[in-house]
Amino acid sequence: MNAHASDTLPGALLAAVVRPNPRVAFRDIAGQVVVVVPDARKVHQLNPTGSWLWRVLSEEARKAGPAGAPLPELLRSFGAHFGLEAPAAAADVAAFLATLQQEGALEVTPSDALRQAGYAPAGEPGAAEAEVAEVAS
Amino acid sequence: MTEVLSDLRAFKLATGAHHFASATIEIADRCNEVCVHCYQIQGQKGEMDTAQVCAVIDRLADAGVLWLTLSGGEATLRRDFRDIVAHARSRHFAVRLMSNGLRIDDNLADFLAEQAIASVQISLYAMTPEVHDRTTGVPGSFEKTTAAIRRLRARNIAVDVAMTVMQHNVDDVTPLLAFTAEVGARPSISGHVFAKEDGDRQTEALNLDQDRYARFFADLQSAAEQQSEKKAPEEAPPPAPNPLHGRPCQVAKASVHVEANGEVRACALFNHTFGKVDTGKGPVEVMRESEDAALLGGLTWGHIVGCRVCDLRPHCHRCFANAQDEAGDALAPYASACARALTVYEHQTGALAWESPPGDAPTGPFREVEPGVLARTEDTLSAEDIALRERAPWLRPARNLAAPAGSPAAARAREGFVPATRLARSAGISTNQST
Repeated sequence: MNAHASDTLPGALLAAVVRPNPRVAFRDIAGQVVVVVPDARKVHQLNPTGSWLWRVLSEEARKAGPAGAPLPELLRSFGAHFGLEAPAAAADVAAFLATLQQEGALEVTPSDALRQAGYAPAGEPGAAEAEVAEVAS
Repeated sequence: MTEVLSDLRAFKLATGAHHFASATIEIADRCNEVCVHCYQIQGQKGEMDTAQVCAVIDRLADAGVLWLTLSGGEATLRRDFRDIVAHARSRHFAVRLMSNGLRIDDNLADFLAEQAIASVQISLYAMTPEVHDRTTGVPGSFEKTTAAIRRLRARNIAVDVAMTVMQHNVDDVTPLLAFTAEVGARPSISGHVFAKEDGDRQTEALNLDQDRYARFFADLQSAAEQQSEKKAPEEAPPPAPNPLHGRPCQVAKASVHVEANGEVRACALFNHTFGKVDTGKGPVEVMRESEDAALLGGLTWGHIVGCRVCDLRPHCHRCFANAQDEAGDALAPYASACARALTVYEHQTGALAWESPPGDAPTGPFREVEPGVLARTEDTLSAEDIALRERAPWLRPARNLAAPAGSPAAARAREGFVPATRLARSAGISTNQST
């Protein structure tokens, strides 16, 4: 059974909201989401897990209006869908979102929420695992 | 979870997907330039209204198209241009605009930046103002167009500068490359002028002659080599061997084209209509349901009689539309492609000699006798080739097997005369028939 995300989330993420950067273009192409970031002139092809997350967050953000989708809800949905406990879900999702934010594909409000919570973009030195472990304990 | 790719071509290669990822809509059947080389005939097709264009955009979004190019004519001439762009962006398209830049003032440039348009392709034909203005037929167009490019770049909008190289502007290639480097735009240079869309081939007279094309090609190679020195070796594009099972063109496979009046085609240049969007179907549905489109999308080098046995195939960049215009047959070799392949071959081997004199404007297929020495060779029609021609006479309008016996088209086709689509039409043969 999955713990609710907010039980274990760093405080900085509890009020965070996310949405696709309005400047990007994106499409679900044959089951994989492709995101174009015109300002960076980059194209990101998300893997199936990332594609699932993008679909959910873009839909939730659309429903939520200009503010964006609540991050804790996104983490809960992700954990429930993939059968992950909240800490593991938070680590995976937060690193992914941090990467997309860094690439200009995603807007997170407050903008430094992920970093404040210790989540760095994938591939960048960060304290994500340690932070999750700490929270989990 | 992410993989950063450099462009959509890489995406296609990575997934191997057969997917209509890009579309072009010619939203305007009019232009504010009268370029000497333009293949289009303006003002006769008619234009879809705002609701129709937006409906097409919605259909394309639902079909999974990501890249949307808005072109014309001159797309910005439409009063609802901004509404169309905004609608496309609201459907999360990566929007590209093709324009001559004449109407891109500060206000429009601001709008395009606000809409996060993916890129703008601007046509610029020379860095010598008189040469550019003579090409466009509009005095002062050089100043306006280059100013538009600078405006867009100042707003960090990606700009592709498109130049068609012809006899009268070939000396402007190097200055234009310098200009694009200066402003941070990407050059997009074509060395081919197409026949007009009604089959009139007068514009082809503007094409580079063989000597000028060789010089132009060498200049481009030199520029490309300088550019590749700045890149890591693994980023260099692999050679294109054009295997028999490969496709000479991605037409009808990954992209779809919509004319200003809603006709659905494979590309702007290939003169065959697969259907129309006013039938309640979107462009992708039209393509997917069309047997003609499936046939065109499935054509490989192995289907092209002559080219399939030609040793210069690895050096060839043939085009179905060009072949239709020049040879009256999309499935045949044609002189300008052969001439260019010979130029590339000579450039790469450092020599070109003939076993026996090939005559003027030699057309393939060619056999490599030894490195640097070529001979003409022959190919033969198989039963499958004949069946394909009977099934799809629209591929070869001037050698149309369906041409009425005794008609001018049939007579000229027998004589080897190449009238292209205009003659076919004058003989009452539709080049846009659907199955």
